[in-house]
Amino acid sequence: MSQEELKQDILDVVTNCVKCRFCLAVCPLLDITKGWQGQGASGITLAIYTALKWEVEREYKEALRDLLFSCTTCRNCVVRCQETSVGVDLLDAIDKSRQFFVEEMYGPMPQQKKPLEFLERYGNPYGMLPSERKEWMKGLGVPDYSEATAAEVLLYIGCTATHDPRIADVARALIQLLKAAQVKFGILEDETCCACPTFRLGEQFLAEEIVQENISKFKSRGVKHIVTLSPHCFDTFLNNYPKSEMQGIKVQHYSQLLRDLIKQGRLVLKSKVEKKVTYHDPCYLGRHNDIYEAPREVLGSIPGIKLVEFNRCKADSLCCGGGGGRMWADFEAEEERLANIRVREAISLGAEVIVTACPFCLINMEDGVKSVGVEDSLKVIDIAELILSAIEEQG
Amino acid sequence: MKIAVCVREILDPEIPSKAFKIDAEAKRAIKLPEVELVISDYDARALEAALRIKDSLESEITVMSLGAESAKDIIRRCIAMGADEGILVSDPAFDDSDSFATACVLAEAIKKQNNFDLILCGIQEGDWDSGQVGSGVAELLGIPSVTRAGNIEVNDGKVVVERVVTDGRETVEMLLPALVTVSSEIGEPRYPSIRRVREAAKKEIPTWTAADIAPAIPRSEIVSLFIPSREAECEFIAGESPEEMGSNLALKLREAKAI
Amino acid sequence: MTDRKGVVIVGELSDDNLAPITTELLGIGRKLADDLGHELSAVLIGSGVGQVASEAIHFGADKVYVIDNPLFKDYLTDSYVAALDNLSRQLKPEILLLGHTSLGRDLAPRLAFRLGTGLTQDCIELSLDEERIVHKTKPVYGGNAVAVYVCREGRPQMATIRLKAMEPIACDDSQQGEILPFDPQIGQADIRGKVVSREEDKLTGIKLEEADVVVCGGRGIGDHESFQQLEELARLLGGAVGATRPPCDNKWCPAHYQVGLTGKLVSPLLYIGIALSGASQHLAGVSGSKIIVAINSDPEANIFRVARFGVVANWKQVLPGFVSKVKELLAN
Repeated sequence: MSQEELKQDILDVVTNCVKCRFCLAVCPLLDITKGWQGQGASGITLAIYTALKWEVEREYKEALRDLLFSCTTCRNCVVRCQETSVGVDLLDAIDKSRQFFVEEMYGPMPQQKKPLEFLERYGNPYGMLPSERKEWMKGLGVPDYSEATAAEVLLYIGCTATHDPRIADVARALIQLLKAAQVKFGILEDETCCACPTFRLGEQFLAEEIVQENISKFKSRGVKHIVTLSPHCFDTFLNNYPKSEMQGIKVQHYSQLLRDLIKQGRLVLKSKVEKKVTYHDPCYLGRHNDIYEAPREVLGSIPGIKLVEFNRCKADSLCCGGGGGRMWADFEAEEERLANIRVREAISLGAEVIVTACPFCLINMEDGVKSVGVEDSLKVIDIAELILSAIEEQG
Repeated sequence: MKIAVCVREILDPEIPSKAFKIDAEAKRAIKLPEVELVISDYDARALEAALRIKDSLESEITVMSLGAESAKDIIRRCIAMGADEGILVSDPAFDDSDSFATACVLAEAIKKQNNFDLILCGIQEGDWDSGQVGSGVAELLGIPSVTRAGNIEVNDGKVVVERVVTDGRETVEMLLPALVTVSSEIGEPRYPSIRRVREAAKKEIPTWTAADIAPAIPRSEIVSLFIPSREAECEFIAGESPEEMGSNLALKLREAKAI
Repeated sequence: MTDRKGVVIVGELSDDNLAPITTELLGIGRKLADDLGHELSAVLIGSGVGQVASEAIHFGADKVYVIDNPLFKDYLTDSYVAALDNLSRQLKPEILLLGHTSLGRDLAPRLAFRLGTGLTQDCIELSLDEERIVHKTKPVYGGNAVAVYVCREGRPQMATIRLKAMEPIACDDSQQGEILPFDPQIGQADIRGKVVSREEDKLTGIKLEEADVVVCGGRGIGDHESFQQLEELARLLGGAVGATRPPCDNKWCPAHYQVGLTGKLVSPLLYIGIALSGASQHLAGVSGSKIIVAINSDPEANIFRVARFGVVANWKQVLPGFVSKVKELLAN
C-alpha cells in the first residue's frame, strides 16, 4: 500500500473510535507505565490519528514512535472494543501505522532495528549465521523434510529455538513426543524465519520477500501440513501468508497436534505429574486465534495434575510483553515488566508451575521468576516438556 | 548547503566472535561467504547527522567511499536513507591503503567533485579503528575540523558542534567549509525501509579509478595481525548456596590480595 | 633522518596536576629514550601550566617545554596543532607520543598529517627493533584482534597511547632537568574556531578510568534500584561503578558509566562484572584489568572466558554473602 493509502485506511479505522476508553482497562501498557490514558490502546491510535490528520511537528516524532512501537499487539483492546463498544480494529490501525512510520523512516525503535537488519542479512532476527543454524537443525536427529519418506508433517521449529538453549530444550521435548507418537515428520534444514518480526514491526516489503521464499519452499517440497513450535509462526502462516498460496496446507500449533495425538491414543500419558500448575494463555494462540481449549485438554490429560486458573485467563490473559517486536526492545516510559506481574499472580495462586506454549512467554516468565526472586518455588515449564514427563517411565 | 559524507564498507562486526577469523599472511580478516558486508556504524551516524541537517535546511548530500565494487551497495543504502548521490572510488591500486593513503584519495575525490560546505565522517572505522581519516582529509583540504561531535548545527555560514570530551561537552564554532567527525552520541541512524533499499538498488553509482585519482603511498605498514590467546582459566567458586559462594569469593579475593 | 634525536611526549593536565596519562607517557617515553640513548622531553601546553613542569621532571623528563599562553587556555585543533608543529620542527624528535585522550585523538591525526609522518592510535605496547623502528601494537576489529604497525620513513614516529597501558616510573623528587619556555609564534588569526561553552558531566566520586576497583553491571541487573547495590559495593571497596550499554540505554544508571570500546576504558586492579555477558565491545574496555571477577547465572557467558574467578549463580543472591564477608575482612 502507498503512504497515502495507509494514511487513509488508518484515519478511516480510527475515526470510528468513540473515545469510550473501555480498551484502556485491559491494555497491558497501562500496567507497566504511569498508566496515563495516552499510554496505550486508544491513546495510541488517537495520537497517531492526530499526528496524521494535522501533520504534527517533527519534535514529537520520537515520542510518537515509542508510543506506537511499545504496543505488544496483544489484541486485548480489540476484543474489548468488539464486546463492549463499537468494534474498532485498533490493531489494524497500529499495524498500518507502523508500516507508515517505517516507510517514513520514523521507526521502529532503535533496539528493534537490529532484528530487522539481521533478518535481511541472515534470515533470522538473532544474527545467527546460516551455517550455525543448519548445524543445529542437523543435530536434532530429525530427517530433512525433502528426504523424509512419506512425511506427513513439517515441524517448523522457529528462530528462537535455534538461538536460545532453553527453547532448544522445548524443541527437543516436542521432537521426542512426535517420535513416541510415531508421527512421520521432517524439518527444513534450511529453515529461515517465518517473517513474523517484519510483519509486526511494519517492514512490509521484507516480509513479502520472506513469505515468497517460504511459499516456494513449501510448494517445491510438497508440504501439506505444518506444525509450529511458536504461536507467532502459527499466526503468521495462518493470517499473514496469502491464503490463495497456502491453500491445501494445514497449519497447526503443536498444542493442537498433541491434543489430536492424545485423543487418537497415539500418546499415552501414564506417569503422574503431581503438581499444581497454571496455564498462561499466549496472546497469539488465544486472543489472536481463539485457541483456549486445546492446550487445556492436553494438560488435563496428565494424570495427577492440578490445574488452577489465573484470575486473568483465556481471553483476559495478561500479555507477557514479548509480542509486537517488544521481545527486542524496552521503551523509555516502561517502569515494570509484565512478566513480573504475571509471576506474582502465579505465586498468589499457590501455583508451583507456570505452563507456557510460546517461546517468548517462556523466556519472559523465566526472567520474571528471576527478577521477582522465586526460583525455588515457581518453575516455568512448556507444555511439551510437561507431556514428555507424563509419558516417560518414572524412576 | 552541500554536504559530503565519507563511508566505509566493513565485515559485519556483529557476527559471533567464533566466526571472526584472520588471515595472518595477508594481514586482514577473512570474509566468510555467508558473512555480510555492511556500512561502518560511525559512518552511518555521520550520514544521519547530514540527514538531520537536510531535514531542516535545503541541502544536497554526496556519499563517497573508497573501497571494492561491493561498496556500491552501502552507497545505495545511504541513498535509500536520503542521500542524493554517491561516488565510489575503486581500483586495485588503492588496495592496501593505510589511513594516510585513504585520506589522500578521499581528499582528492572531494576536491574533484564539488565545493562542499561541510564534510562529515565517522570518528573511526569499524574494522581497523585507526581514527585518522577524517582529520587527515581536513588537513589535506586545509579546512578546520572538530572530532567526536555529539550534536551538529549549521547557521549563518558557521557550524556549531557540541563536542564530547572526557568529562562533559564543549561547544565549538567554526566557519564553513569545515569537517566534523561523529561518534555514537550523535544518535541513531534512521532505518531505511527495504522498499527504499530495493528502489535505491537501481541507482547507478559512478566509479572513479586510479585514472581519475592518483593513488598515494601509505606511510604506515602493518607487520603482524593476530588474535590474542586467552590464557586465563577461570576458577569457579564453590559453595552450598549462592550466598556461600559470595562469601567464598570474598575470601578468595583476599587471598589474591585484591581486597 | 640522522639529524633526528629525542623522544617527546605531549602532556596533559587534570585539576592543576599532571594527568595520569602524562606520567604513563613519561614512563614509556623514558624507556624508549634510554633504549635510543636520547633525551626525553615533555611538552606542556595551555594557560597557567608552568607550575607542574617540575613534576614532569620527577617522573622522568630531561627537559620540559612549556607553551604557556592564554591563547591555549581552551583546546582548539588549530592552535594546538600549529604550536606542536612548530615545536616539532624545531626539536626534530625521533619519536612523538600523545595520550589517546579526547585531546590526543583530535590533535594527533592532524599533527601527523601536517608533519608528513605516519601515526598509530590507541597503542597498548611500543617496542624498538634493531633498526630503531618503533613497533606499535594496538587492538583492532573492535578488540577481536591485535595489529602491529610501523612507520619506516616518516618522522617523528608517532603514536597515541591508551590510558593505563603503560606504567609511570617511580616519582623521584631529586631528579634535575631543564624547564624551557617555548613561544610557538601563533596568533589569533591562525585559529579558525572558538570554544563557546563547556558543560561538565556531574561526576561524583572516583573517576572510572582512574579507579583501582571497578564494579560493572549489565543487562541482568534489571532496574535502577538494583543498580544501587552496585554503588554500595563500589563504595565499600573504594572503587567506581560502570555499566555495559543496556543499563545506560535503559537509564538504570547515567550514560557516562558506560565502559567499553565506545565508552570508558578501565584498567583497575580488581574488576567485578555482575550480570553481564561480556560481549567483546565491553571486554575491550576492561582488558587492562589485573583481576577479573564475574558473577553471572549463565555458565556459558563469554565473560567467564576472561575471568580469573567466577561465580555461577543469581547475582542478587550472591551479593549479600559477598558484601558481608568483605565488610568482615575489611574490618580486621
